[in-house]
Amino acid sequence: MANGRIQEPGKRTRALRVVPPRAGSVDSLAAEALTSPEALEELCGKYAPRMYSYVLKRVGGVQDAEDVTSLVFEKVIGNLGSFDESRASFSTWIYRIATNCITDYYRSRGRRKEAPIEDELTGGVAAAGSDLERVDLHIALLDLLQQLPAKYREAIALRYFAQMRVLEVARTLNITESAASKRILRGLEELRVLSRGGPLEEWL
Amino acid sequence: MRKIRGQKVIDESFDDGHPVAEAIRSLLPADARMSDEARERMMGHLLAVRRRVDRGAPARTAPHPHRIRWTALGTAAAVLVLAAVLTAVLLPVHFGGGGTKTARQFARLQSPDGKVEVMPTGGKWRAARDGEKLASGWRVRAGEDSFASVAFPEGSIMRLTDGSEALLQAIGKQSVTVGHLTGGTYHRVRAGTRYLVSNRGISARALGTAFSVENREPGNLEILSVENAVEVEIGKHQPIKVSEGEVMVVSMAQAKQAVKQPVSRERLSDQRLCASVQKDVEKGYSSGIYEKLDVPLEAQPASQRPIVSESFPLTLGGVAAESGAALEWTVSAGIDFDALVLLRSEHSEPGYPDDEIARYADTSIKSATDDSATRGRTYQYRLVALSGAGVPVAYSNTLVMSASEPGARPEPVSVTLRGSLLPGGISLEWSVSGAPVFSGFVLERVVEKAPGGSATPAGSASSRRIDSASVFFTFVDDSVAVGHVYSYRVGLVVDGAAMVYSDTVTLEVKP
Repeated sequence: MANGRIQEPGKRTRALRVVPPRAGSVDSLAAEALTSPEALEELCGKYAPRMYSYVLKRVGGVQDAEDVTSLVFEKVIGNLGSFDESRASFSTWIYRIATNCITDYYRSRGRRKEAPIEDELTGGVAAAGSDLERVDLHIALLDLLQQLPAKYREAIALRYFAQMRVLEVARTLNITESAASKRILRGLEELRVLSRGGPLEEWL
Repeated sequence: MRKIRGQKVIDESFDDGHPVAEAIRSLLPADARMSDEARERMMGHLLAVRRRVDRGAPARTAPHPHRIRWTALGTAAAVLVLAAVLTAVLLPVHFGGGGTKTARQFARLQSPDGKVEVMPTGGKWRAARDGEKLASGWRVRAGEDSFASVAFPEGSIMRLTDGSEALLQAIGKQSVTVGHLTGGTYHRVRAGTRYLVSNRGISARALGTAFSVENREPGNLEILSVENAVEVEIGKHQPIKVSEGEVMVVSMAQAKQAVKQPVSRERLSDQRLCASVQKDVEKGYSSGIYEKLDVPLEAQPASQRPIVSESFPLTLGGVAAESGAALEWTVSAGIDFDALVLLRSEHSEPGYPDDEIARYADTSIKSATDDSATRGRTYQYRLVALSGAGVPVAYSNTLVMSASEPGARPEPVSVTLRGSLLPGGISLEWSVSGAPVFSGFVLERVVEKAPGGSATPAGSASSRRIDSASVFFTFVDDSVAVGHVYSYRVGLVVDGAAMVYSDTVTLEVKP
């Protein structure tokens, strides 16, 4: 139970069976995952939906999103030993890893320019039931985002794509809240400028 | 931004209303779930990776299983690329000519049937003409047994059924914003259009869909998705997806809460809704949920029509409580289950098992209080009944609730009045906030100054009763005379009496 304590109102006094929290926190679950396959599975199960949703919004194609999400968790597994819950929460840590994986994805995509178009159209949002125009707009937004300087791009992505609070953005990027909000606002302005003359001009 | 102990703390709503932020949110797809197959594949892969790590080998030693499938998808990809190219060539271009300033956009009134009226900005209601241009800021209304359609320039259509009124807040080349005021409006939204319908802090946003918005039942706003999906925003909270065939009823009382669940066949058989969908079908559009449920587009006799299916096996209700959310549920006798699981989510429809927060093996328990809800946030709750094998056998409706802010006080009821001079009259506009239910207004006028011999000397007072539950209202007083100074105020009528008045607005009509 994700920090949810459910209390029954007065008419019944019997204690409810609540899903037991594992050692109290996700961070300790991460530590446990070092030795326990069950804990690892639970950790991945807990974060995979959120991470996949974020990555899908960032890369635009279902199969690429599955690949990148898988890679994120591979890195989590490979680096669990260096995770220090006193320095960052697991959530912050995994989003840092995701940020690096997505950066690597776009770098490698730059080297294989022909491949992603097929992937986006076969496995992207279009395949999930939306229409091609909407996919085009999403892809146009991703292209625009890639043109931003990295520090603005990541702040924007965490704020809107991962729907993070500013404090969470700041922690993930290891900057102050004030700096995070400035990056977000500057990023929004840069996006508006970059959109001029393109398909998103009407939108931004 | 505020400071706590010398450290700057950012107000989370600092970017609310920033147009680019809003646009990004609207352009992003809804949260998606990884398919079960992909998830299982990934978990298998990760466990293999973990075993390799345990043996001291590098984490990534084998190609990811997805890569193998890429070549097999080549043919399908080519077909879709071709479809994309054809779509781009055959469909009208929506993105403009590359950065030139766009001209003012107009909608057109189509096929007014019965008493259909329009009110230009600052003007008066007058009969609408078939095919006439409607600009941003105009209002449209359809009287009793009347019907009208509004065609927007990018291809979307709004249909007004009887007793309905809408404000065309903004008409853009690729965006439409409609203020739903009273009655029922139906919207067929063209793919790619940023389309927003709002009513007193509740916004329904759609891209390529069909949905209706109604507030015929006092105190409630109903959003029904006929095809695809629509995102509903309650205040500043995360949007909530209303999928095809679902209806969300939002209580417009102070503590806004909503219930979302599948729509009943009876509701779909509503005469007004059928008429709107029928017109879509005549134009070649899909009837969405009507086709899927095989509901005929023939109106049934008007009677008590439950909005949601009465045969729903699990019904979840609740209210925002001091300590969080007080939830109650009922279970129909027809389902066989071993446990109930309460689900909660902030960002997407709660699903099992990801969003489980409590499990009730004792099936006689019918209520609970969630005191772990963070105050000021909006949550979606849902129940799922599980079989002995742990398999979901039935889901409840989705309940949307905001945990009340600590010490939050109800928004005060207020009426804001603005006035401006027009050639030959005074235009008065007012808006209402914080009032869940009211029946109309009383507009009062006092002549403050008048020239000698005036038919309305200083001190003359008059009032006018206006029956409308619109939260925005415009009125033109064309009985004013040159050289006079008038003051106005508007009272909000609740239960037959004026309860709250606006501030007074004073204007002088100069020669």
